[in-house]
Amino acid sequence: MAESSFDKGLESLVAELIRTHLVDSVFAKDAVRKGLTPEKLESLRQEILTRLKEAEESGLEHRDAVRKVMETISGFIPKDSLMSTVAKSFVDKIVPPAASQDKEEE
Amino acid sequence: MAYWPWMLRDIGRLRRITSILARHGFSDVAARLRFGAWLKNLFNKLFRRPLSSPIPIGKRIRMVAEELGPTFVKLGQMLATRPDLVPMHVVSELRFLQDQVPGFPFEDVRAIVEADLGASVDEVFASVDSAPIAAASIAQVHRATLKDGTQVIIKVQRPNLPETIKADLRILSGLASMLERRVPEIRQFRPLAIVEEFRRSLSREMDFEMELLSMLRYAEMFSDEPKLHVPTPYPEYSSKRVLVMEYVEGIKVSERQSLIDAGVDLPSIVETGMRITLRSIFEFGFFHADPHPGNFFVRSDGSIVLLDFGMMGSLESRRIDEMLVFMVAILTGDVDMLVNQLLDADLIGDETDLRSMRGDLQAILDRYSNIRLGGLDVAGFLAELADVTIAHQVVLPADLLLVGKAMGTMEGLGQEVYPEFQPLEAIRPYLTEVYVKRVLDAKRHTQTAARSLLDGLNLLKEAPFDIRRILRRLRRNEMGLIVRSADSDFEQRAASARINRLIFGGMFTLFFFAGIFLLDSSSPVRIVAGVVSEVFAWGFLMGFGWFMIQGDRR
Repeated sequence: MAESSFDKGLESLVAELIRTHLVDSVFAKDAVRKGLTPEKLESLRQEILTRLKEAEESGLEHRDAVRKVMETISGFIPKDSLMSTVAKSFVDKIVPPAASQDKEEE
Repeated sequence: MAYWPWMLRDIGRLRRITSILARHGFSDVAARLRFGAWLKNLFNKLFRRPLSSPIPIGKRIRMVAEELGPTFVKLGQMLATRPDLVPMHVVSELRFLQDQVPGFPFEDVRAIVEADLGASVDEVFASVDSAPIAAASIAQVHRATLKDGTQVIIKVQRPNLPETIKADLRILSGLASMLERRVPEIRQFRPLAIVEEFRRSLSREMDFEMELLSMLRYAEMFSDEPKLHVPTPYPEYSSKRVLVMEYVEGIKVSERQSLIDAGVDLPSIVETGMRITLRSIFEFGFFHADPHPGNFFVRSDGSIVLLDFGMMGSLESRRIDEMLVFMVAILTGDVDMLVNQLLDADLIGDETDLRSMRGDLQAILDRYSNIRLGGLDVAGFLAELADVTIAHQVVLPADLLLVGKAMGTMEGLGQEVYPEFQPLEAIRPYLTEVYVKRVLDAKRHTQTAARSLLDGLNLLKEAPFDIRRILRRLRRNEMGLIVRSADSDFEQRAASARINRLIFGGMFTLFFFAGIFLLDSSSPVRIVAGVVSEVFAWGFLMGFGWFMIQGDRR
């Protein structure tokens, strides 16, 4: 089954989260360090980082689809309420609007 | 009395069971079941046997099972994989249970094949050997040739097997129910649940159409593995009781000298066998749960032929993750990872002393980590681990023990074929790598996230209807709870406190969100309803808090 824009965008986001927040902590685990030789650890780490980077880049242009879905869902929450503010900041944090992304890149 | 119907119906079989039990020194079991002291005395008079026997109990249980026939042999074999339920000395003995019984007449084979395939044997096959090449408790196997000259084997189920097994299972259920009610020390092992699990496993094994599907699935899974061969089944000549598959020539993997004479590369066989076992469990979650040496053959080109797909284990994706964490923690001696996983899997009860359990687990892990790599006995280690966890009121998941059995069998086979084989060297890096790859797999996490999102949306969509349904029932006083009575007052109170907390917590969530939805409206009626809903919500929250405090006080 072909992947939708939403799936690709979401995978890109998940891949970025894993790369920035999870890879180091998993490879730092005692159990992982004991289970593999240092050479194997390094090659596995590189293999995983490459795969994550690929997933991240291939779904970059589809991240807007995820933002639209999240905005639709958060639209159910009454406006001007505390929950609405929390939801908006959550969506902004997870999927920054395209304009601010461009600004960051500049 | 509820026991009498099945007892009267199966009186003949029951008499045979009790007489075999008595002959092996188990007449006290009858007394414990309150068949009556007179029965116990009668046994002793008839068989002139003491209540206890000098033969170890494990061996006596094995002898009883062998004498009682296929159902009990199969039950014994299942229990041999459950060191969490049966003491280790009994498990060791049950592992010797032989599933070999005399064959049945060829006339019966012919009758079953013809009834199931709707054609005479001569119409389907060019020839069939009337002498079986193997006979076991479920089926027997004959060589045959198809009309086009293809060599095949026919596996035919024993005549009247479902009826025999049905009667035995009825008796087993009855006995389990009596044991559960009348022998308190056995109750914790949930004999009724074991019989139920056994019934399911046996009915799968008796369905050859299911076995055929398992063969096709296994072959598909390993289509990239040139060193494994799964015999091709013939669905057009198969049924629930008949399974026709390709005949494959090979040497039994346990015949080491024949393998050496044939010039087969022994380390490569062991390495392939271990790789297939590990991949089937941790990559596909579908594995051969009975990989004993009789089911492995080696062809002259060094490829492995796997037979008998009647008993398969399967693990869903989340379970694979759990198993991986368990195995990685165990194999790398990481006790914190192990305890955390037991907590995450919700296997640790409130009464367990975590510090003491951690100490005991650490002791086992330390001891095993000092064993030379090749000397690790995975199955024995898991059994010992099960003993420790049971002592701390933690029952390890049956899946883990089944995985342990499959790996342990492969490990034993490896050491038999190639004694220099070091299983841990093959298992540890493989499992660690699979674990890392799964934890850091973006696609898998995305699928889970998307599924959760979909579930959340469905929940939102259904919420108004569910809330309305609950409110209607509340209005009609139709809300009720069925509470199964716990053994003691304390357990009963704890169970009701948990239920109350659950109800109040659930009601708070429902009313809280219902209130938010209603408040987001311009209609005054809905706004009022929303306010009322919020008031209810906070009331339920206070109730929830009150039950928490009460629970803590208790």
